[in-house]
Amino acid sequence: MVRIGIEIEYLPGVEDPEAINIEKNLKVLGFKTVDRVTIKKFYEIEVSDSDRTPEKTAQKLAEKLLANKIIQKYNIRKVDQVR
Amino acid sequence: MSRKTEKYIAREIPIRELNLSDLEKLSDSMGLALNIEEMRRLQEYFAGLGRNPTDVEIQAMAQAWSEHCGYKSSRLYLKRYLSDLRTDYTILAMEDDAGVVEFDEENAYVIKMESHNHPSAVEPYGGAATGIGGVIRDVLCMGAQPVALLDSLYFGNTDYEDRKGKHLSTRFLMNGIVSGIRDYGNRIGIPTVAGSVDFHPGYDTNPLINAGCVGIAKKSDIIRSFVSKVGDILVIAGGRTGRDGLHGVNFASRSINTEDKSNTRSVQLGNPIIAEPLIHAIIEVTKMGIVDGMKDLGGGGLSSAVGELCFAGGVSAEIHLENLKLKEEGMEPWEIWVSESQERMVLAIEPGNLDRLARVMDSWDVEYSVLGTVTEGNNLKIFFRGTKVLDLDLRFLTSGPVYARHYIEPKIDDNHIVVPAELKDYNDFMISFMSSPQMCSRQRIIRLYDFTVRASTVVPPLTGLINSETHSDSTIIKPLRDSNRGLSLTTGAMVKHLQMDPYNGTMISLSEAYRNTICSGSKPHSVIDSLNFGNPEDPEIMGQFIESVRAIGDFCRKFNLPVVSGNVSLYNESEGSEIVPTPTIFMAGIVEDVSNTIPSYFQSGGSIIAIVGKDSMDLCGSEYVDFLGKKCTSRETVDLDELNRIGMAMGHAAKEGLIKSAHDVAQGGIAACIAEMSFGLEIGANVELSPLSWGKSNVKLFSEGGNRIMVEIAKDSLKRVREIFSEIDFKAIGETGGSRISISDRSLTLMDIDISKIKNAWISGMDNLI
Repeated sequence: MVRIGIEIEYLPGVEDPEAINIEKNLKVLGFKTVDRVTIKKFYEIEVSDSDRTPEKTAQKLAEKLLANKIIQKYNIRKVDQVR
Repeated sequence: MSRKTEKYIAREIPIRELNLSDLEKLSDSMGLALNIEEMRRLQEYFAGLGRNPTDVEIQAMAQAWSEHCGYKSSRLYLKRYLSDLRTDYTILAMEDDAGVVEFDEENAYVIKMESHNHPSAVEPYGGAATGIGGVIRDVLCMGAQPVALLDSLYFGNTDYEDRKGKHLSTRFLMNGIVSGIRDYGNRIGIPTVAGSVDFHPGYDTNPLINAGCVGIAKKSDIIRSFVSKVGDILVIAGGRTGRDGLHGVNFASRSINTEDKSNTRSVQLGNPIIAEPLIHAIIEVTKMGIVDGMKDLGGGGLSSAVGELCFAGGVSAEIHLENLKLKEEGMEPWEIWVSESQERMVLAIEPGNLDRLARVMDSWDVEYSVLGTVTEGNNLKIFFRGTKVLDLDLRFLTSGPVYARHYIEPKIDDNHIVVPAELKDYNDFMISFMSSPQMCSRQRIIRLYDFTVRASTVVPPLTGLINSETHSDSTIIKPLRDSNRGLSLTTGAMVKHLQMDPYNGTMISLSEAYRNTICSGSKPHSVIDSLNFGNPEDPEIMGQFIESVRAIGDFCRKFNLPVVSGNVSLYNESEGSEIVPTPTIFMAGIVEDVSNTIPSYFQSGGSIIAIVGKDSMDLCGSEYVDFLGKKCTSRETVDLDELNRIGMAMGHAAKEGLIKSAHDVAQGGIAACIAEMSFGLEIGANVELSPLSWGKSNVKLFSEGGNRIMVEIAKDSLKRVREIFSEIDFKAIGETGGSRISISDRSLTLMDIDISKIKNAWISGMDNLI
């Protein structure tokens, strides 16, 4: 079994109202040193060993379902590398 | 020296030395979407000036000359057929960003509809949300408080996802588009009150989204979309400028290609959390009386907004682009100038009023920046970090080409009539027919929208028994707190009829909107059109467009209705498949007193059911024929004189309080009309069709043509109603009562079924779609 992580975030230049408002509110709460907040989504997917190309599978499923490539990009890595 | 303060070096485009094929390549590589003649005109102009243009200048020209901003294919015909339509209560028609019409002595309503088809086909959620945002700003920039939103949506067939193709499935598009509208409208607190949803294979690869907005303002507070005071400063308020939506308008000037990587940059994303305070701030500065001119930034971005604002007022401007607040670092000046980032408004004010404006903006937490100054003369000048990047004569910039494109009259095969075989009984048929995507209840969509926020919706889009309502003919809102005067709103298009015949299909769409308005007890007041067509370079498509505009002109001239605003969306085609010609008709009506409206469903048992208007013996274009999978074409005309008489008689009868309920006969014919009127309070009907005509029973049940309205009348007022309708076909066909819908023809029962059976099927028709 291989564990694969897929990280999805907005393309540069795409505005994320949620992140902007968190950043604004952090400043209101007194965290004056916060410069930027980015929100990303992280998926952890377990693929059985019979799959010889788990990264390719991850890429396929990210493009098909998880990421909207018009406004998002994705990043695939083995979870072990992440942890 | 940091990059921000470093002097910018302008990029020159050596256009003067290029030959024809290189010019074409340049248009492609820069994403200009200009054709070879237009590129030649640019080349000649700069040859005359004795210099090459900068990249900013070329991009600005492409924006101004795009189909979206320049109306280059449509202007000639809009002018020919619609420009003379005005009434004494029209304040501004097709002049500024939105139409302005008198509401009462003191107030005006501001109204606009716009399409957002191309972006929604690529990114449905963002595309639809920004469509709503854009049309709200069009109303807001006239100084009006937005009070209601509407949307007409057109999707492909619902089985599209089962077919192999590169395009997005109908289900995905529908979910994205509907949630985009929901999230934007609900978050800024403006109710989405009316609309229409149609399914047709013609929209498989090209969904259409037409969003409308209505606002209300004191006549004296209306702000024009031009500035004429030299010395005024131009202020940008609202969202920051980013790379989103680059070339959106050029995108709308050609057809969508699946391999098109450049699509990604053409989609704007909405941020309703900025739009909401922006609306408050703009209304507040408008009421202070310090705004001399205002425009919203939509298609074409700053380039078209500043250009049009100044040109219309006969002045020019000096702009400093480095003053703008940006979403990301390192944007080129041309990107800043043509960016279509959302939630931005440009205001012209006297420099002395900047402090007052700043206080309001700060109090609403809205960002603003001073963009430049209004100057005398004709030349617009733009600077970026100390370098002049654009110096163009506004007269040339806004003198985009106007085409009289080659066209042919649409071919209509009027000899292909089909009359399907009769069934023994229509009970089971009616259940499956009423639950089909085209016929079923729109509740699943409508309930996602907040249609009562602002507490001004008097007749909501769903009425009748709570949680089990039927559709209203038109929604009625009460825009002013201290007046009972109301506005009725309805929007849609009769797609199947338009596919057959663009001229008469447009007439039927208008007749339907007109009847929707009078059925609710209101008086038709103004028309807004959102015209969606395919590629105008195809003579047949151009012919469809011209015929449709001609129909709008003919109809509105007959009824003395002004066409006050609208938009044109062309090039709605992809991979060779073009959409059905779709002129969405948005009609506003006036209700003298909102406590006196006519419901669209049966009110009590024991009343007379009658049909007003001539019979229609034509099944072509009906949902019935389409549901059976048959093809049928004809040329059915609309009798405008009859419709006029019906309108007047309905007005009289309504004034005397004689109409208990009314509903127009449209999609699904008389059968669907009776069912929908029964659904409201679950009051049944007993109808005999033989008074109508000698035609076949299924023709009488399902034909949609003519100007027919079904009315419910108390027995004791029948005599008086007959007098009022003496010059119109008026036939009593049955009585209300019971809990069944029974319809017979020549005493043979066609249908006898419990209301709840049809109603459950009707309500759950969309369950698997959204």
